[in-house]
Amino acid sequence: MSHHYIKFSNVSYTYPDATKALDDVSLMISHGERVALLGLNGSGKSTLLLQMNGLLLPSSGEVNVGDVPVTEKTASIVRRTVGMVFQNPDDMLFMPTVYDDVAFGPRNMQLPENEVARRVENSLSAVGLENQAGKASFQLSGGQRRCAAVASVLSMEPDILVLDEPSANLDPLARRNLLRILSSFTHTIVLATHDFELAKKLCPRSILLEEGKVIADGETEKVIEIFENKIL
Amino acid sequence: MTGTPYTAAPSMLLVTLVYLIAVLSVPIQQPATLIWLAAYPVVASEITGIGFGRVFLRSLLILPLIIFIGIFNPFLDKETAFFMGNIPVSKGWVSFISIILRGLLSFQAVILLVSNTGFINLFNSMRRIGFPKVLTTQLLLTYRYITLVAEEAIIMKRARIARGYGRSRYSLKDWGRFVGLLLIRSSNRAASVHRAMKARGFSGTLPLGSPMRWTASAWIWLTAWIVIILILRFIDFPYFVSHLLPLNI
Ligand SMILES: Nc1ncnc2c1ncn2[C@@H]1O[C@H](COP(=O)(O)OP(=O)(O)OP(=O)(O)O)[C@@H](O)[C@H]1O
Ligand SMILES: [Mg+2]
Repeated sequence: MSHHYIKFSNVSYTYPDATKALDDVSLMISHGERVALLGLNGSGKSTLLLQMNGLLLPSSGEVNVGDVPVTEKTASIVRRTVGMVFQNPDDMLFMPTVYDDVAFGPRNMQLPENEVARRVENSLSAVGLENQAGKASFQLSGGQRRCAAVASVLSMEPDILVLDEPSANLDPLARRNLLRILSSFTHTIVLATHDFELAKKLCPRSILLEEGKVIADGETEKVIEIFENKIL
Repeated sequence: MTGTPYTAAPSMLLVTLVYLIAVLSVPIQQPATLIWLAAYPVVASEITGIGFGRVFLRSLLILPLIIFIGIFNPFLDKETAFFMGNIPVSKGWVSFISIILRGLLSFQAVILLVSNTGFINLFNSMRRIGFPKVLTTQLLLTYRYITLVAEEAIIMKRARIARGYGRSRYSLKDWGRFVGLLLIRSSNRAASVHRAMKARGFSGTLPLGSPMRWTASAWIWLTAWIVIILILRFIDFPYFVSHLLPLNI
C-alpha cells in the first residue's frame, strides 16, 4: 500500500474571515511514516490536518492522498483512507450508545452488520472500552471519551490515521495506553501535539509550524530543539 | 439510557401511535370515553417503573397551552348538554373538558414513550417502522442541535457564575449579548459536529442503530395494549354496565 502517501504542494488556506492559517505549505509524508506536527497555539496545525481529508480545501495549491487529488468530489473516497480523530472528542460522539458511535463509520460504509460488529468489538477492545459498549458517551469520563473517539475511527480501518492533540486530558495510564494503541498501528500516523514526550516516543519525524508556515521538518529531537530555542 | 431495553422501543412507539389515534378520535361531546382511556398512561407508567405521578406532573406543563386552545368553547357554545342536578351544563363546557383531557392524555403518552425509550432509540424505531429517512434524520439532528445549544448554555452559565462574584443581575443589553454569543457558539459547535460526522462518511442520512430484535415481551406489550385500547375506545362502558349486566342500579 505504498501509494498511500500524503503530499501538500504549495498549499495556502485562508478562513472566510480573512485569517491566513496556512501559507505556502509543501510536504510529503510516505506510507508507514509517523509524523508529529508541532507549533504554538494558532500556528495552523488543526487547519493543516483538516486539509488531509477534504474537510477544508486549499485556497490555493494542491493536496494529494495517494494518487487522488483531494477535491469536493473525491473527498468521500479520501475519507475512507484517512481516519481523523478530532481535537474535541465530544464532537465525535453523538449516538445513543458507545457501540453505535463506533459503528457509525462502518455503517456509513454500508458494511454488513456482522462485519460492523466484528470491527466495533476489535476497536473497543483495542482502546480498553469493551465493557462500556452499552453506555451513553456522556456517561464516560473525559479520557474514556477520547478513547471512544479513537475507537470510532479505528473501526473504519483507515490506512492513514490523523489525530489532533490525542493526549490532551489523559491521565498517565491512559496516555501510556494510547501510546501502545498508536504504536501497534502499522500504517501512517500524523498527529498534532503539544506533548513532546509523545512526539519523541512515537514519531521519528516532526514538522514545526509557525504562523501557517513550515519552519522545520526533520528528526523529532532536532525539531523540538529548534522549537524550544524559538520559545526561549 | 433509561427504562426498558432497546428492543422495546418499536412496540412502545406503535402502541403510542394507536393510543394517540384512539384519544384524538373520541367525539368531543363524549369525554367519558377519555376517562376510560386514561388507563393506558396510568397502568403503563406504573408497569414500566416510571410512576404515574411523575408522568402526570410533567404533563401539567402543557396545561396552559391546552387551556388557551379550549377556553373559548364555553363562551361560544352555550347550548345545554345535560343537567348536573338542576344546574345546566353547556356543550361548550363539555368540549372544554374534552380538550383538556385529550391534551393531557396525549402528552402523557408521549412523555411515557420518550422516558422509556430515549430520543435516539425512538428515531431508530421510527425508521424501522417505515417513517421516511429524511424526516427522522431531520428530527434527530434537530434534537442533537437542541442538546448542543443546551450544553453551550450550561458552559456559558458556569463561566458567568465563576467570574461573576455573586452578581446575579444583568442588564437587558448584557442578556442580548449572552444570547447572541450563545447562538454563535452553538452554530460553531454544530459545524464541528457536522465536520466530525462527514469525516466518518456521513452523507445525509443516519445509519440505523443496532438491529432490534422483537422479543416475546415486546409482542405481548404490543398486542395486549392495542386490544385494551380498542376496547376502552369502542365499548360504551356506562351503557354496558347498566344494560347488559343483570344489575339493577
Ligand atoms: N473557523 C475559523 N475561522 C477563522 N479563523 C480560524 C478558524 N479556525 C482557526 N482559525 C485561525 O486560524 C489560525 C490557525 O488555527 P488552528 O486551529 O489551525 O491552530 P492550531 O495550531 O491547531 O492551534 P491549537 O494548538 O491552539 O489547537 C489561527 O490564527 C486561528 O485563529
Ligand atoms: Mg488545533
